[in-house]
Amino acid sequence: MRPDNFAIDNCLKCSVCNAACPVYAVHPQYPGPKHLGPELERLRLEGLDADTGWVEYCLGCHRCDLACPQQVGVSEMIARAKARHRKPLVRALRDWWFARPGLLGKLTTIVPPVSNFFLRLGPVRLLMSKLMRITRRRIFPAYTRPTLRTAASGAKQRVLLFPGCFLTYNRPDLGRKTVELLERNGFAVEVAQTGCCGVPAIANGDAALARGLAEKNLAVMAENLAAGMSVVTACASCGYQLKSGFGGVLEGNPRLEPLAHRIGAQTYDIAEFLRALSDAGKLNTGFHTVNRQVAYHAPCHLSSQGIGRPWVHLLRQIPGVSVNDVNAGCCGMSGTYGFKEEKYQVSMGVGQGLFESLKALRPQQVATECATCQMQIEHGTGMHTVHPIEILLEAYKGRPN
Amino acid sequence: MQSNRFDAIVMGAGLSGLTAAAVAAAQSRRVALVAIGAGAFVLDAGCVSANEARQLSAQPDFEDAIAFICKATAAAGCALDADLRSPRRIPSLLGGFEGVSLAPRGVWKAAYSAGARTAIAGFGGMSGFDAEFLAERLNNHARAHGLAPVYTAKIVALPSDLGTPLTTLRIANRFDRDAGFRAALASALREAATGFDRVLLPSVLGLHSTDGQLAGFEREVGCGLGELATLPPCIPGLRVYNRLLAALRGRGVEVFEGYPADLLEIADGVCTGLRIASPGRGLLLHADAVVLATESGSRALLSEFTGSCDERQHPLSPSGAPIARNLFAALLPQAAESKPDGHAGQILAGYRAAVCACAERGEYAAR
Repeated sequence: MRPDNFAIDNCLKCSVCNAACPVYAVHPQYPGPKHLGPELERLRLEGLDADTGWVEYCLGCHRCDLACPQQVGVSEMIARAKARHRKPLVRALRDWWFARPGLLGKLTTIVPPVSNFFLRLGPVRLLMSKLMRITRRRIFPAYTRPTLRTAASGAKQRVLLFPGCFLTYNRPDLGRKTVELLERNGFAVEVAQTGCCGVPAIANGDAALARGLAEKNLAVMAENLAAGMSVVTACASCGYQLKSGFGGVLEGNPRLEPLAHRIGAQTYDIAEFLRALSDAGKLNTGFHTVNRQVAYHAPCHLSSQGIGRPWVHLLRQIPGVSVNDVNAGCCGMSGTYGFKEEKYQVSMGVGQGLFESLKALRPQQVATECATCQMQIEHGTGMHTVHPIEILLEAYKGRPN
Repeated sequence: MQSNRFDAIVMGAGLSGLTAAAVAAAQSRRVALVAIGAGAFVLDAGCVSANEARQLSAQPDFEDAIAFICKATAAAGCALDADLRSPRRIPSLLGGFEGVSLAPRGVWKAAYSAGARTAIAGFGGMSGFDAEFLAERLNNHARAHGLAPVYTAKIVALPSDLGTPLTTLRIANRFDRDAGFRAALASALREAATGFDRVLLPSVLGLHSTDGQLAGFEREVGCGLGELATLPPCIPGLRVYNRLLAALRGRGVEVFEGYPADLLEIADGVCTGLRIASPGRGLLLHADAVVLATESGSRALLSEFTGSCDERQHPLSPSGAPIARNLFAALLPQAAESKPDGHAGQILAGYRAAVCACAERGEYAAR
């Protein structure tokens, strides 16, 4: 995939993208990435109105891009069409909120126990489903006060942690574990006071918001970037977004585009960062034995980072751990997608293959680094799912977290 | 073990790259497969024409290469069947016969058979496939070749919720994920098969199904089934790709999909690494041997590459010297003159390149 390449003439209409598309596989009417991307792009580039509600159904999983033998940036064409698409009022309102997990986090964490209690109530969920088209079959992840802060450390090597919304508002404990993991490998961790990475904004068709978030985040990190600090993420979607220069939303901005490329070059997925340490012989390998069969699911946005499966390498270094890379496709959650009433069935249909594979494997633990993949796996299989960071930390400590 | 060090890196996931990766994996090497999507063989089922097989029959290693890929695909549950001595007459979508020496099992089983009363099943509402046209044309062709006309069209009704437009891909997806649909299709085909020895149908039998699963489906239908390769993407080709890739992963091959290589590190006649153009910094992989199994990709990486290679599969520079001693190209020597650029040539070239590459040390061999 070459994200800067929009030459639609590269598309040979071979339909390999359709064959790779998880939504095309389960929705009988979905026209597929070939049509929504390059085919309609021809019309859109001519200035014709080729708007269609089907663009809302794109998961943004990038599987079409990765499968395309001609490296056509299919999903980015669809994302841009999504940004121009006009939705009916209710869906537009709902997606306005879904594009802003940061704002949602800030509001709900003013009084977290109250909002968590409230969001779990059956009647509230029924009301949300009727009024806002948010499925009542799912429960929002619990929100908590943002307590993830930079802690003092004597270590010389410093890294910047880009926490993202989930570590900030839902799992600051996982954020602290991420910090501890890096500290145990000799790094002082500075927690960036950044906001949302912008993936939910792009997924919900709000390019202007994504641009604004990218600008703010770059301003916050500019000094650290100039100092050459590595940026580490524990969320695959945040990682992809930073590495792709914020999904290309700053293209053409003479001041910020070079900075966006710079952050791309300095960003590491946490597992990629640790794997590099391991390859250099610098990983702290003081692991205790953890006797466990782990099934690992690679999130789509980890695959689209093009770095292989770094967690598989890391987990296999723990004595007693056996890792099965499930490789059963997209989970179907795609962030906020699975919460949308009209997309719930598609979301669960897409996840079916993964659910069945996991149930057949019957692992002792399921691990994946994406928060919403975790939610979906737990929803679809009932299997408790952890971030692989937690297994690594458990091996350092020699006891469950 | 260093995660980015391999015994062999194979670039390209067409028939040559997949063959090369399978050869190296079969020798227990630690292999990285770098690919931007499936090879072109998924567009046409990956059959080998009898003509090409004949042209290559004198080439050294040819029979070994074909035997190897047949065995490797069979082990992966997506057998390619071959007979280099007596090619089969495989019906084409346009109603002719093609002499074929190797094909995915489902397509191979669609070969003309004089004694077999054959129903051609068409699906109501499906675009791009006309069973009546096909049966009539095939019968005409058979008569023209002095063969018995054995084909009869049968229209099969499928459930109405399969989607629009109804394509082989939609049906194949449904076949993969819905046991109820498989049962309904089996029963519809069983009905169509009444009075016939076998049924040919457009290729819809799943993108991921194994030969074993398809044999079970055939038992349910109660007679032999043959698949007719349809318009791209061609389901039997995709199935071979999916299953073979899954089998390679199972053997420890690491697959890096989606981004091309943009740099080959070569110093003092030795290739030390290959960089994948993934977002951000790119990813550098190192290996004892690198196999280039994509022609356009190889040319983009090697400005001095002449397009030919020596008998050890080393790509040559304009001076006629190998570009690097551990760099191998899945190309047949003097490809420019004889130009056997079909699928058999790719299998042979991938096989040879990997055999030569595996003669390298392989110190990171999978342990």
